[in-house]
Amino acid sequence: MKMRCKKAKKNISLTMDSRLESVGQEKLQAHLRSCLACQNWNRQQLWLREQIKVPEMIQPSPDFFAHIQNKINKTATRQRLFSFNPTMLRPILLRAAMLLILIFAAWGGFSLGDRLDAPAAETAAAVFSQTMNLNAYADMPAESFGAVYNRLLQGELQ
Amino acid sequence: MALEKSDLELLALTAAGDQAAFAKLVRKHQSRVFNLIYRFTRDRQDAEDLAQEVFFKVWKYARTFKGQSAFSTWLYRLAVNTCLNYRQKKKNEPEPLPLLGEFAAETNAAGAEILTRERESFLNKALNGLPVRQKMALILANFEGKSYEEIAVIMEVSISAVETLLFRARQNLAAILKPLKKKGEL
Repeated sequence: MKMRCKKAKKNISLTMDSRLESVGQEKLQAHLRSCLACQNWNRQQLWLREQIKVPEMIQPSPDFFAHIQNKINKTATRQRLFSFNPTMLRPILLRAAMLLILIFAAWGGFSLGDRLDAPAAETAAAVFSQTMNLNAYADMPAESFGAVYNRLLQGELQ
Repeated sequence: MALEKSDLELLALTAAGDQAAFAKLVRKHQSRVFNLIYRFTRDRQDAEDLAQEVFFKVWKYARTFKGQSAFSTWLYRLAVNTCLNYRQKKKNEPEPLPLLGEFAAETNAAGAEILTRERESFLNKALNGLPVRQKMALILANFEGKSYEEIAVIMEVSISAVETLLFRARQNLAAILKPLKKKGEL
């Protein structure tokens, strides 16, 4: 199958970087023999490659490293003065967290202790009396239920 | 005679804050990095500033280098990304190509030497007219002699993307320079 011009141009580009395998090379050469436009494109590319060459290596200025060092030193000073590094604060934060836990635990202990304290004896009696509604029997004889029952049996009470 | 330390050893010392090792590393690679950037910016002062920025990044991020690629590849990647960012920043102030008429007038008035210089300048401007990634791929392939595989790693793209970038760069460059070539001025 005949190679199209777009593919041929791509292959010219690959050839310039020695990336085209031999089969592709043969097809490309066959295309170039018959296509004037691609021949021109190929010539143009070879010419361009020559033109845009930068022949010699140029050297940076002699104080090149000194400038980098200045930059590093400046940044280091700035960092020392203004920077916030969370890893530096890690031990402090850990201690603060432990202290907070202790304070919270102590407060919780005191607060629960207050609630769980046994009530005083009078308070307990009053609460018991109220709960049992003992006043409901206030008009009854001030004796035990057993004594009242015995007296009822003996007919002393009507 | 003491053996020279390898790049990785020097980098490890740099990561530990050894400025002497860092200085050695910079002196060893400064020319290559500077020339790569110079070919991209075509401006000596900008190239110097950017190359310094690249080595500053080496100092700053030495600890993060995990050795998954060669040190030189990592260095190239830093340089390429610095160049691409530079173009991004400079996008607001584009450098226009000279008008063909202006160029012709100047060259008619000057001698052969000036003509060559002007031609170089025009070619540089044409190169600057290329999209940044295409230009960088072209520089890495044509001037740095990098293989497609290396370019792919440095630019963090696939090999077929490198092929396309280079093909388009050449196509665009030819299109930019075609009018002048037709006129016989190039």
